[in-house]
This record gives sequence, C-alpha cells and structure tokens, in this order.
Amino acid sequence: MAARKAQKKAKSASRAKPPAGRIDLHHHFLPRRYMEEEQKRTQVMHGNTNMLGWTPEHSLEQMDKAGIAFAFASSSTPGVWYGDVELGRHLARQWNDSAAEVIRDHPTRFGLFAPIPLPDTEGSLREIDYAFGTLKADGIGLLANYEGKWLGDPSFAPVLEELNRRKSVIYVHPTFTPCCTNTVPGLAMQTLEFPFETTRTILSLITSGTTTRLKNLRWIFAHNGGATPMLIGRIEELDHRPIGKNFPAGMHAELRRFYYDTASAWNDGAMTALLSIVPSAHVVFGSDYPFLSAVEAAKKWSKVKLSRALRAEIDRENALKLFPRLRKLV
Amino acid sequence: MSDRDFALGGASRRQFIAALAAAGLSSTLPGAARAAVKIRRIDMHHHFLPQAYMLEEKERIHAEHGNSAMYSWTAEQAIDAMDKAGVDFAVASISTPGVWYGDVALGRRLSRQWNEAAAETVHKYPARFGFFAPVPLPDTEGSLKEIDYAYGSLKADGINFLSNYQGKWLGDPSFAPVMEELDRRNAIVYVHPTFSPCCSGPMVPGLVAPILEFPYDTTRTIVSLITSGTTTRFPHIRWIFSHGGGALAGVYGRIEHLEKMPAYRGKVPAGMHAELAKLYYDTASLSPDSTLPALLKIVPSSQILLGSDYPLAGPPPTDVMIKRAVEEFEAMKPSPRLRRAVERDNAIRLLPRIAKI
Repeated sequence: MAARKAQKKAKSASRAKPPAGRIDLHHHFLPRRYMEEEQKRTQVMHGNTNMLGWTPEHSLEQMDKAGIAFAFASSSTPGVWYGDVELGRHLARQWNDSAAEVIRDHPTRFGLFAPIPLPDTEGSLREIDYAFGTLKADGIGLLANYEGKWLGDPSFAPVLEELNRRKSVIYVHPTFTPCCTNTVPGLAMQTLEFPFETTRTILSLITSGTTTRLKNLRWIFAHNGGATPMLIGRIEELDHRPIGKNFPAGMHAELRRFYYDTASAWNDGAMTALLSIVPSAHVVFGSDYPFLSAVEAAKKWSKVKLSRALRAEIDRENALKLFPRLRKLV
Repeated sequence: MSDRDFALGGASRRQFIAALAAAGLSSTLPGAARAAVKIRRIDMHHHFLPQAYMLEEKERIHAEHGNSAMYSWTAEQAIDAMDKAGVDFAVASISTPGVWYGDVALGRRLSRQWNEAAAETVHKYPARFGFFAPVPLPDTEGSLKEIDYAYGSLKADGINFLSNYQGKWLGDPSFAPVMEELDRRNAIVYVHPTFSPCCSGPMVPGLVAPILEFPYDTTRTIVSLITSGTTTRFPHIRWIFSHGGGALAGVYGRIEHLEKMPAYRGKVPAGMHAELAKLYYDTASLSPDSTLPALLKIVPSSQILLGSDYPLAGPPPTDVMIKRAVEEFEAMKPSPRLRRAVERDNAIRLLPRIAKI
C-alpha cells in the first residue's frame, strides 16, 4: 500500500509520455551503491569503467532516443554471489532496494527482475518473498550458473519450485563459468563464452527434467538463447538418448516454451534460426544497455528484415502479453 | 542467395520431421563400388576409421561419442552408405582425438599410419574417395614433413586439422610456420572439432561433451584464425569448417565487428564479415529448415558443402546416415541452383579433379 502511494507521488517525476512503444527486456541497472561496493570485483570481471557512472537518467535518455517506452531492469554478471551467505543477502537486498527506488521515481518506465543470492536457498526464498511482496517485482533475474552449477542442478529445485508456485517470470543472463576459462587469448570472455553458457544452462534445465516438472515458470533467455538456435540439429539428438526420458515432449517442444530476447541477435542469420525454431510470440526486444548503447541496438535491430507485424510483436506486443500490467502504463 | 532458394512452406519443424520419416530418397545408385559416370553428390565431412589406427588407439579414443561402427569400419560399408544416399564421392578426414598425444614420435607415426591407410583406400577406390591428411601438430617439423609426404607421395586432397591442439586454437602464432607452408601450397584445410582443455571441466550432467562443446570449439578456432590475422596473412588457404561453423551464425551479432576492437585493430583489414564469407562450411548437423538458412544469411551459398559426418553422425544404424543427411537437405526443396551448389558444384570448384574422375 505504502509502495503504491509512493508510486503515485513519484509519477510526476517520470516523463509524462514516452516517445514510442518498444519494451526492453534486457536492460541493466548498475545502482551506484552496489557498484561502488563491488567496484573491485565488477571491474575485474568486466574491465569496463564507464559502467560506474550509470544513472537512471542515462537509461531514460537512451530509452527516449531508442524508442523504448519501458525497460525491465536486471543485474548483469557478476551478480550478488561471492561465496559468502551474508554478503550475498546484503548485496541482493541492496541491489533490489536501489532498483525499486528508481522504479518508484519512474513507474511508467521501469520494471524489475530481482536478483536473488543463489546458491543460498534460504536467502533466495526470503528475497523472492521480499521482491514480489514488498517491491512488486515483475520477475526474478538469475545468472546462467552459480559456482559452476547450471540451473537444472537439483540444489536449485526448492527455489525453482517456489517460483513455479508463483508462476514467475525468470530472466536468465549469462555469466562466467568455472568449467570454461582460458579460452581464445585476447578475446573477451563475454564475446563467445557468454552465449555458449546460456545454451549450457538451457540444456541443463531441459535435460534435468526441470522444465518438464515445473511448467508454470516462464523463462526468458538473453541473447537469442545464446548458441541454442544454431545447435538445434545436434541437441535434438538428445531426444533419442537415455536422458530423453527426462523431457518426454522432446527438446524442441521445451525450447518453444521459452522466451528469448533479441540482444546481439540483430542480424538476419540469428533471427532466421531463432524464428524457425520458436514461435514469434516468444521473441522479445532486448537492448543490453548499458553494455551496449540502446540507440545502436535499436539501429541494428531496425535493419533486420522483418514484416511490420512481426516487428510490432517483438518490439512490444509479446512483452505486453507476458506482463499485462504494462497495458495500462505504456 | 535468397529465401526463395528454400521452399519452406508453412510446415512446422515437427511436420517436417514426420514428413522425412515418410519420404524416401527419389534416386539411389544401385550396385556397390562402381565408378560414378556423373558426379551427383559429394560428401565433404566423411570419416575414415582405419582399423589399425582405431584398435591401436582404442583406449585413447573417447568412446562416448562413438558407436558400434567405430571398431568395425570398412571402406566397403562406407561405399554402401554412400550408394544408399546417391553420394558418388567422399573426401575423408580423421575425427577427434586425432594423432597428437603429447609425444612427437608417436604423433608422427600415427599420422603416417592414418594417412597411408587412407591413401590405400583411395587407391583401391579412386572413383569414390579422396582424403584430407592429418598432421601431427603442434609438432611443426613433423607436420611440415607430413604435409610434404601427404601431397607428394600420397596425393592428398588437402590437410586435416583439429580445432585446437593442446588448447591452442589455430590462430596461435606457434602454428604460423605450418600455415605459411600451406598458404604456399594453396592448400585446402579441413578443420574438425575436438575436445578442448579450456572447457573440459564438469559439464552439464548427462550431456556428452561433443553435443555442445564441439560446435563451440569450431567457432572459437574460426574467431582465433580471423582475429589473429591468420586468414588475412595467408589468404591462399581454403578453409573448411565442420557443422556449419558450429555456433557461428548464432553468435554472429557478437563478433561481426571485432575488427574494430582495439586489440584487433589492423589485423582484419577486410573486416570480420569478409573473412567469414571466404571460409567454407559443411552441412553436417545443420537443419535445413532453420540453421542452414540462417548460415546462408551470413555467408554466400558458394561456401556451403554437403557433409554427412559418417559414420559418427548420431545414433546407428550407420548405413543410412549419409542418406539421412541428404534427405534432410533435399526435403526442404532447395532451389536447383542451391542444391547443385551444395551437393557438388562448390566441392568441385575446390577440387576440380573430382569432376574428371
């Protein structure tokens, strides 16, 4: 109730009418308090000092220029888990509170995918309750692995079961993975290894039977599902192996239930593969701001050959179906 | 290349696969090892598993990606599988783990053994087979010797690499002397993926590593070759990559402008896309209703080669593996132009001798 009042009060602070109707499902917040505290760690992982200067106003400016009416904020790698239960809970809460503050100021522009301190089950369950109950989050933001365990790992089952009970949206962003370091010299890990990692966790979720068992979860994967669409010919073979019993509907049917954002997939090759494998209703616009300029993202995206109807679906309508509350806002 | 080259219709993927099961190949070549009068189809991703090599290396070969054919392969069975598919010619290569186990003498001996066995098969069936010769990288001297022997004495059609050697991808500067020699020879180099020490930690439980990690490693080595400036510096090497370049088309949006990154400035003057468009890609494990059209949005159809991955393409029975690969491609009703390009013309442009057989 208090949150709603605050929302009303803050409405005037938000820009009255956003310019156009795109909805950005892949948009990072880098809250200053979190970044300052984690500067050392995040710098080591990203090597991008620009990020430390992020403000909500930067986001809004880019969104206005890129025709983005509304963006769902998520945390990027390295997230909130550094092997310390207390720290993980503290960082998750801090990030979520900071993001919620921004959202209170701009309720017609931002939504929230709340990070939780996995692999800490108890802390995660508490944060889920807080994020949905108090902060009115739109979904939960997960990374592709925690300590090298992909999301189908049985240790995450209690958290996923709770999210399934809540019919949650889960946004999955890639991160570094302990299995696979020392890759091509000079090449940033994000370039190839992030999309590879997203595909690993997708396969972990399917082959472990998690997606078959927890049918109410609505999964969104970053970057076109990583390498997934291009590897359909190989991964479909798993239907015929013993592990196929864990997903009786088949690999392809499971892949079709997920949602995929367009970040980095703004070329005809990647979109051809994705759209021939999953329903167009499951593809949503994503910019990957501020790691990429939202303006650049929108420009590249506008060059992909798509029908006007399909573009409208991906830019906006599919997200509205996923988050009906937005209909009144954007 | 346009969308019109594929008659996608409105069929869903499921319907497509069901239709495949019901359909048969319209034309197959009767009779065993007869010489082809006119080459219809050429299989550019085709493994020889010489039994002397296989048995000697049994404990080293990762059994997990194999099947019963691994230890019973014969050229005659391969020819039978080709005939069932209307494939007249195949260019053979080695699969993982190749010939390098950290021992120079062993590497040289195994590559020689494999190449001589392959040459023997080619000699026996000259109208049906050619081969790409594996070399014992990272042993530079041994590799240079084997290149000379493979071309000079064995008349190999090209050289056969794995995607990495001891965790070094092919753009690594230590491979430059070998690349230089291959550039001088205008070599065709066939690259097959393998396990990579970078990424062999505990993987997704229950997944056999080749399913994801092989295509990943192919993409890593392509990016390594281009960003290191190798493909620019040695423009005469004609590279063929397995499985449509692995994950390449899926991650294209993340690599298309790497040439602008400070680390690579000046190394890729033509740009990533121009380099990618020069490489060749085989169709093994590509889906013609999705991933092949995706790749064709990035590279021209002149760069695509039919590849079956026989006899290691998925589950047995092996005798219909090549037929499956051809059927999958043709069931999508590629335009006659695309079909000819992929099934034979592109390969003949690379290896004109095949047309004269």
